[in-house]
Amino acid sequence: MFREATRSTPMTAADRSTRSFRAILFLFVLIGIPSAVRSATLDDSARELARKIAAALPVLENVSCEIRNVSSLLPDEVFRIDHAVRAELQERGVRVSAGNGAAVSVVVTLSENFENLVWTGEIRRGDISQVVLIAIKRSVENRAISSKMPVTIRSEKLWEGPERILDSGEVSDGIGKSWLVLLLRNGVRIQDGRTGPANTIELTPNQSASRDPEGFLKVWRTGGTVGFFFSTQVCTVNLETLDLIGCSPTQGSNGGVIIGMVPIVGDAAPPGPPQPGKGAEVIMTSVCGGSRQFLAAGDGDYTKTDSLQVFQMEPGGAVAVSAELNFPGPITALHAGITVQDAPSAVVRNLTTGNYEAYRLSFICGQ
Amino acid sequence: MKRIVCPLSAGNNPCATLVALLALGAAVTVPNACASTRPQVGGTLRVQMSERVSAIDPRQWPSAPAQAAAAERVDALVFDRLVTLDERGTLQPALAISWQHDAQFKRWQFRIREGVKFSDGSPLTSPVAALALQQSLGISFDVSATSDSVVIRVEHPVPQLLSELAAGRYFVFHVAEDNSLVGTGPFRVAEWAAGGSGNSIFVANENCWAGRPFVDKIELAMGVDFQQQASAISFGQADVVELPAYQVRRAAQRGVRTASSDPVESFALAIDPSRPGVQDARVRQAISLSIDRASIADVILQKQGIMAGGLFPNWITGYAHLFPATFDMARAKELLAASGRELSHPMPLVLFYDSGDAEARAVADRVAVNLREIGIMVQVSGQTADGKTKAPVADLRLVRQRISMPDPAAALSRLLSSLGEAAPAALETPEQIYAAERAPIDAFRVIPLAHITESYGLSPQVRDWMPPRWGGWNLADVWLGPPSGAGGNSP
Repeated sequence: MFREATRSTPMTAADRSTRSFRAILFLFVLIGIPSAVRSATLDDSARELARKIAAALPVLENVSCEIRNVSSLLPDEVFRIDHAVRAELQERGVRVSAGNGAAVSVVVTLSENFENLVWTGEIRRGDISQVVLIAIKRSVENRAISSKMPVTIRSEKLWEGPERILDSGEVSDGIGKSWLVLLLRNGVRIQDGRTGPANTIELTPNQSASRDPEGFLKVWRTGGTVGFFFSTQVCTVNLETLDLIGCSPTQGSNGGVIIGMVPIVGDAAPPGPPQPGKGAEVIMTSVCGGSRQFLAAGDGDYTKTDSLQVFQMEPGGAVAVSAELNFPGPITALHAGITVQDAPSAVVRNLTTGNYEAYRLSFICGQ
Repeated sequence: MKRIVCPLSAGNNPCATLVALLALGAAVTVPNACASTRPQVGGTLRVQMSERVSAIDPRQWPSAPAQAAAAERVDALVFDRLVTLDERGTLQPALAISWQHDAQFKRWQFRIREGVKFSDGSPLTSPVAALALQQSLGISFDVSATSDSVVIRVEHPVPQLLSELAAGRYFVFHVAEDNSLVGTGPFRVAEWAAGGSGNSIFVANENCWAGRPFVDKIELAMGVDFQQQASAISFGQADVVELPAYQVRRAAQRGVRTASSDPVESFALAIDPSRPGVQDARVRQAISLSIDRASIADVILQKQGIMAGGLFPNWITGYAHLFPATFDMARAKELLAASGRELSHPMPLVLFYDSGDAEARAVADRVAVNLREIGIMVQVSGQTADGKTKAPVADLRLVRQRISMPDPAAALSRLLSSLGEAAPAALETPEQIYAAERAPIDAFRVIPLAHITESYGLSPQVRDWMPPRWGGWNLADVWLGPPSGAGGNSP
């Protein structure tokens, strides 16, 4: 984790006679750590760091530049950052030399703390050192894994935030417009698209405070309204204004049956005990020409990262038909999408960031 | 096993069952698989700790860091604070649902959550909360109540008041008729082992505003030494025990389930530059260069620690690499020779450590060995935790400090205070935080040595062991399941 300090010129006795080298280590920090979430891409952030480095460099000096990665960034991301930093330095008139002979060295370290990516630039000229820093909010790229299995699971992150969400759902008008619905502990948030206007509707759940709050969403659209189950109520919201129209009690438990108004479907588990190493399993709409398929999550508790895998019931037992798609934390809600209209979805609590994340799941055949 | 939201579970919804059966294309019964994965309520959690907490009373807060940390854990079973920190270290409402302050950060107003009751059934009101906080905050704060709020006034700006109130002794309580203290937290005291020895019993607060805890009861044994705790977890006599760094690997080898936090404690040497033997900065630098931190981390702390060049581990700041931990005996000897210390100060340096901390003793001994190698003799002297020293003066103090919160500014402020450093004028910007961490290290008044994880041994029944990243307990969310067969080394 740590590396030894290096310097381009050795210390002399005169240097040591009156004060320590650290006393003359002139650390001038130009930090721009924002507390707000940044939407900038890694490239933009790399250029921002390069601009700070360039501003701190002596004019028209040759510099050597080294990029070190001690973070969770992937090699191709580091490559992009490296390229962007060097390009920005050169655009700003900095002569970046390939060798170590330059009088000024720049070491860019890509690090991270529990909250942000933290990138530092150490500019050294002899015993004089200067540091610049920036912090960038992490963003998890949409991921998919590829394998020789018949099915590949793809996940697309729709939402991320610190607020605890119990479930998520989407509803679309069929011609390109969609709404994201998030179930909170005390209400729902409906968002127009992924980044459009949102409205949080506070509702009183029909249960007392719990350390293990439960709830699920089942959303549907009827004309200009969207409906959802909340606790044992069925509620409707005006899609234009995102305001609550009203709620009424449902029949039965867990949302019950609203015949004629709501497609009556739900997630259900396949028969028999879970597969080895698997926990919750839900039946899904079979894909890629298969039949009798189900999605299986891991069997860890809330302290473990999780994964999803597609299985298919065969005469000899269940067989995995996809590789595992890993998530950065436990899956806390899972819908397999048992009808064609339902998009499979998952809610995950990211163990690294502590954020809750809502994912849409999809399946690709034959990759 | 975690719980996953299972909508319209087939077990209790005929339509869902029908659709599920159609999807599977077979006449099978569809069990409600998710019901069994939810946390189970009930059982007794047996917890052991080495420290003794003399009273569950925020007004009697211990000064020694280890005892204060223990008191904080135990008190948090019973009491709540106005604000709390979530898993990310972000401030969240607790007994206060909102707050505001003036531009000078001298007047703070906290609106109290409605409908909260103490475990004895009495209601939480703003006057009760104000009275409790006045006693914890002391006379430099003026705490008063309005109809629905607590108002805190202070003459000097306190921009970090929220972070302060989210940790330490700032719990809300009320004094019952029998003079016992009652809280709004997840548990209430059923039996208290006076003096902190023996078992104390905490039972679930059924009406806790944040939800009932999963276990019915906690049996807490305090003052249990580490060896006894190791035996107890091995023989199934405890569910949660503390593991010092040197026992973690051994426990895992014996098949005990272990869980370790990120590094949350730090060992550092605090040097008193006013002492004649260490007045010269070159001597202090030589001391820093001579210490083999890798041996401390790998051998003494059994790889449960990482060597430190800065005051905080990387997970908090992200720039720990800017503080390299340099080990250079030759250079240390050069510096020492240049300082002329051997001739002018032949007397040994005095190094204090906490005499109740076996790991501190081992680290202090290692430091003494390293310093001896460059020609500095060291007298290692134990200091009791209550501050009654066995030796009159110290040139060096081995400080073990816990990171009580992930807010670098608040944590740094506390750390510098415990190291005897002056509080920085302001810690509001990252630049100021970085500079404040840098200053005592550059002057060699503080020499970071190692960052240490906090480790526990867990019984196979313990589920959802999810303490905050900065250590401690979160026993209200722990539940007990059937023994997990595989054991393993993580919760």
